[in-house]
Amino acid sequence: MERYVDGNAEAFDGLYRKLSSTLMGYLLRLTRNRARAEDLLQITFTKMHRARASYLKGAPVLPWAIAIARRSFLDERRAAAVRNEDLSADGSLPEPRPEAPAVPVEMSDALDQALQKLPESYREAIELTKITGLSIQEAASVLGTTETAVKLRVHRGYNQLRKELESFQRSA
Amino acid sequence: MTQKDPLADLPWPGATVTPSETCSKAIRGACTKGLCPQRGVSAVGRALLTLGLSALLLGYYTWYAVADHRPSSVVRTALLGAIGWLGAQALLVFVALARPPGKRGSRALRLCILLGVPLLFIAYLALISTEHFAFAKFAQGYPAGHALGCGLIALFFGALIAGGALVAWRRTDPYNPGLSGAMIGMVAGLASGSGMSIACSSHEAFHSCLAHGAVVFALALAGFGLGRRLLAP
Repeated sequence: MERYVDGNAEAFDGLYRKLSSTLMGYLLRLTRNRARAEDLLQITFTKMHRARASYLKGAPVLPWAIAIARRSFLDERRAAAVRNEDLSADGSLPEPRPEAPAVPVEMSDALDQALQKLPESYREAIELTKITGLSIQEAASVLGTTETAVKLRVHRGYNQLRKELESFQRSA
Repeated sequence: MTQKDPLADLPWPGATVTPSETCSKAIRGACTKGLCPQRGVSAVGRALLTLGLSALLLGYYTWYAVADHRPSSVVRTALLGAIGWLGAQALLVFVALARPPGKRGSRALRLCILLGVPLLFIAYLALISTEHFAFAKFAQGYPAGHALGCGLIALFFGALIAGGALVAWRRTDPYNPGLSGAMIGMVAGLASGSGMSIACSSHEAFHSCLAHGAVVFALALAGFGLGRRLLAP
């Protein structure tokens, strides 16, 4: 990051290789739409580019980038709610309503559906710590809350996930 | 004996997804076009700038008090208090702002500071007051008008300091820009409120607490709103 701030384009390539797929995965899980996730990825990197001069030395880069991506997503969602519209990727047609999820046949589908059923705060805490791989402290920083609150959300989320998956296993 | 994560063996979705080539190309193009060194001011530099603005305001208030022939013993006492509060501001700026984001203390701690320090400041103002009116006497006529005028002046100078400091810390906190903005507003409010104690002719308790003290809360609140806009990248 510091070499990128110093104007080294190769350093940007290295940074992009390291961050892009993690950020894309995170944004895809938030939006569940590849085109929107790619738009937000571009916005995130543009914001990082604009803010590179104010990057404070010593700050961990991945949580910093994820915090920017999350804020971009929340801003975009807020703006869409104000516009009260949900357009397709090219901005011309209304986005079709998502179909009702199919009955899961595999554990991975069941887990994905169970994650979607969780309250947003629990899901975010689990995704950041379990899937993205941030530490509890980093996740707390990204979510703007305390470490205890993150641990509590993860614990409660796990309990709900367990219940959902148990009912899936029984029906399977 | 370590406890095994009960959900560790689940097929969790993959953490990484590769963006499309078109998207990557567009990002590389936007972020490397005309790329040049852009080293901003360091965190310590920003902190010193913030404190410098506070010290400048303190200097102005002191000059005003001396030029207006305030009693030197009163000015000296208020100046010592204001210097003490400048030390508190330095501590706040270096602990809660100058460290990299994510290492600035927990949200709960910063919220406690945001509530506790202004209350301490108001308690300090009440303690150093030399006159105590009944509220009914304070709320009417000249004392109320004077308090309003003092409050507006304190708010104006505090807003100047807060504005300068917010610009200095622009785009530095993606995590909790509102809280960082409130912290900056509070520091500016402390600078303006403690400085007003030097320049103001009234040393009445209600006047000090409401006209000089409430500005800390007002600027912290304004800083919270502006910080969300200015401090997020």
